[in-house]
Amino acid sequence: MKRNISEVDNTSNKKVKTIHQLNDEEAALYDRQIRLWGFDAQRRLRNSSILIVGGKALSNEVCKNLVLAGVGSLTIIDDENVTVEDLGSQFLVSKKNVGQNRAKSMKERLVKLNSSVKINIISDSIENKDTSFYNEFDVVCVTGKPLESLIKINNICRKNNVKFYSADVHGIFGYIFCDLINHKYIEEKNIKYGDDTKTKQYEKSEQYSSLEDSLKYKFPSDMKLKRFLRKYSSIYFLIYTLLQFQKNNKRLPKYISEDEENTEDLNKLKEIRDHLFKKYDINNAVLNDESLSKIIRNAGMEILPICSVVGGILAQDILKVISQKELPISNWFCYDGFTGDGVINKLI
Amino acid sequence: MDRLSNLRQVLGKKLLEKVENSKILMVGSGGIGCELLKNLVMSGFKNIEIIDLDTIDLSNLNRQFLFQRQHIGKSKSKVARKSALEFNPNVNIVAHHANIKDPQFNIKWFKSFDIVMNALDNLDARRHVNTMCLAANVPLIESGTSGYLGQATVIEKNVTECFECQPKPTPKTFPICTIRSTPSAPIHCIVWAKNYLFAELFGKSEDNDEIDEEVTEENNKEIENLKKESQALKELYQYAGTPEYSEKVFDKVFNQDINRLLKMENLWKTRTKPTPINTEQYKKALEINMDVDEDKNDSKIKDDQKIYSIEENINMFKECLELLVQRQLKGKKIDPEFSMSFEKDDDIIMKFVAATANIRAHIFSIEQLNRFKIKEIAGNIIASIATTNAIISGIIIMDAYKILNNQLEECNTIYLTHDSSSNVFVKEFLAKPNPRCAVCRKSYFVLTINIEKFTLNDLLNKVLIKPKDNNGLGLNGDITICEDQRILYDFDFDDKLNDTFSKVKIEDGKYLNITCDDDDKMYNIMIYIINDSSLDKDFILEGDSTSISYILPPEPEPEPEPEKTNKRKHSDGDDANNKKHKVITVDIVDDDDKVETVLLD
Repeated sequence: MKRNISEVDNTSNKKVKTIHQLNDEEAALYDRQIRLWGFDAQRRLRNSSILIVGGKALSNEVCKNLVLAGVGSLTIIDDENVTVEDLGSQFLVSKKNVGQNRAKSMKERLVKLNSSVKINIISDSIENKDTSFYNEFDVVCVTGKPLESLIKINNICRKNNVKFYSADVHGIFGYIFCDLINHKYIEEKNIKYGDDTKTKQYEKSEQYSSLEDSLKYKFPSDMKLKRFLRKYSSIYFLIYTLLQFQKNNKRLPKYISEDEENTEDLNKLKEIRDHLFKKYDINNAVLNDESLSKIIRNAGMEILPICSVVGGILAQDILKVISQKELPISNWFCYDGFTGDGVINKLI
Repeated sequence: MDRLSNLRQVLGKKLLEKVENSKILMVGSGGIGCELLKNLVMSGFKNIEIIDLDTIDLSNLNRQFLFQRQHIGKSKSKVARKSALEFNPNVNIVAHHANIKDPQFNIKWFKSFDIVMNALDNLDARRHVNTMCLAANVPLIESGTSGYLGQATVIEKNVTECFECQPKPTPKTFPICTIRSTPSAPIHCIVWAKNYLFAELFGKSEDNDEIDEEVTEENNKEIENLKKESQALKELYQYAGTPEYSEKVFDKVFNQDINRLLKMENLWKTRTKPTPINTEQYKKALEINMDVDEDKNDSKIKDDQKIYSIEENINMFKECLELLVQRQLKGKKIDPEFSMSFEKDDDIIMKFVAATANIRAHIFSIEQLNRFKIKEIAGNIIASIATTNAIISGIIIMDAYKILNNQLEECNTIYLTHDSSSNVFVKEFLAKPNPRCAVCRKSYFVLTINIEKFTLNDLLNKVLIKPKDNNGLGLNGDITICEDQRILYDFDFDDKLNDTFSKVKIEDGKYLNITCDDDDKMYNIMIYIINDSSLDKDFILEGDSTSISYILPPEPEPEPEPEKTNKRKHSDGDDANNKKHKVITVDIVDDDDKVETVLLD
């Protein structure tokens, strides 16, 4: 059961932190999860420090999951205020918080979930933070930011050897990207001998690429449609198109109504798609016009069931990274809540 | 702009309206339940009833986030309601702190919901809700999680498989000889300590559900011997409370019984021989280590992870046995029938089971486990985390949207896998009902009568035999009427035919099971009784008599499982991934529940 693995050193350039050991109280509280990932992983969680950028519904889900799991400290940064619409999907805030800072408003309920997690709130813009700010964290997870910010933060994290995630929910769609640089992890395999099970461990590592590079991934241009779709999720292209649209127009596509199509935005989306698809000779059926008008309807909308799924997968992946057990997402997760497809694509 | 703006844009006005007007029943407010209730109140649902009989425990709090420390010991459903209302005060939640099997949760009540969502942790309640939903014809969303794995599916009568269409794996049992004579793995020693030694010394020895006592020709004689062995252990009870009791018990199970086994030489031809521990060694161990009051020095967490020496285990055995005997003697003074059952959260019992399991492991040269692991195995503890429950409960809401939007064909059985390679979810089309299913191929009817007036004869002649075109069920063949196991009527038992329902105690809310054997076909009907004393006619029969279908007899032999043809795989799944989900098609339980828990492998 108990084994000695040397502390895999992913954090060489960090300040040496005091290691907190688990006490009996924590062992009892976390019993049902320690049985899943072990004492060692729980101790790593207990000593971890995570930054979440953005405080909307997806962030609510991720924060809830991380706090329940018992991470050491969680820092939330958001410079925006709670709106009335936010109340529809952000269960960590309430009516009295409307008009107040989002990150600050989340704290009250988060603290109640697990008092042993240190929760720091920063009601400032992440863009105002300098490079050294990121050094504090083991993992940085960015939600609700446009592409340029994502790339900028990702590159800073890369330089500082900090694991980076970006994720968002757009209506029924959601995505997770991660750049874990060079991630070392332990893979476990259970081997059965009659009624006895033994666990074997293997040390492995995975090389990641930056968001900027991943978006330049060269798709094979001579693949048949079916095979292409088996290898690459069409939801990735949907997210790609959306991120590029936002970059070009400094805003998300705008939905008009159930009866009226926003043809102007639709055409802009088509242009982005066509440009990429022509470059690699990708069949338009991978992302048809109908799908593009679906993005317009879903862009920027957060509904909780989808946040619950994506936030669950995202938080679990962050826990995986911290506990250095098993291969995390490599490197895109794309989700369509209507079809129920959730696919991992490796675009490295 | 308002609270519902995002939902309105994504779902559309029409669907959102349906969602707002729907009435949902959520059964269970534990792991999945907490996440699901949060999702429900934040996803447009306005009328929700929840039910759970459980109270809150410390080990729930790592995932059941509607509960906090100050709620320990309180009703799960009531606290869940209160916490969820803080997320959205504009919804109506009715909370029942009760068992879903209670009679007030009858078919009329089930019929009042548009969708039932199961968030349960045990087979028995799942089966019950499945039957009720079939009888009430209400769609059911069934779900389960275990560790990183989870699943959700939709059950609709006559359209999809029901919960019982596929046989459920039976809990793992071990052959009695493996447990009692030839253990070879740590689990065999744990089952021995818990289900044999502890049960024989302190419990009612008949609760042996993990040991398979099937008698075959070969083991016939050995089982006889084992029975004698148990009897001899029981007879030692006359020494209970005396200073020599522990020594006698120890000598019996770890010396004499082992020596008896050693005499059966053929057992040890291919196995390592066990090494008994005699009284001398036992006494010596006690001398060496007189004081193992562990709590003085170390924390529980360290002790639980420690592998003890044989001497320490022997000391632990003596100490715990004496404490348990004191408890037993005290209990028997008040009630001669007093017995104890295994309780994983009782430290003394747990230490006793762990120590004796490890002494036995030592004797048989089997790897010893620490107490943390032994507790998990003996207590059937299922690991459980918030993220899996959150993911599955998000999927449940999406299924509910599709059901309300009349898009059942878009629903799938979805499995959350623990595989980082490509598909996080594996989807299967909803399968058609199994024509041999004895649960969903049954026809369900509701019969409203005045139980003081209506007789069994009325039921037979005015309802069952009467032709279909004359408002009857048109059954033709040998009819048997039962209530549970009680036969009320069959072709050679018609004494009660003229009795009223009230006289045969078939009251409001009871079910009658009717079978009609038509030589080559078997019809199975369930009739649910509603009593209405002011009824102005003989009876009202609700249900579709044209839908009565016969049940195929069970298959003689289960086919060696081919690729299930009725479950077409979605094209995007590569084979490696499809194989994975089979691991989790066992019934999944969310919580640290009782004996019915299936041991996952």
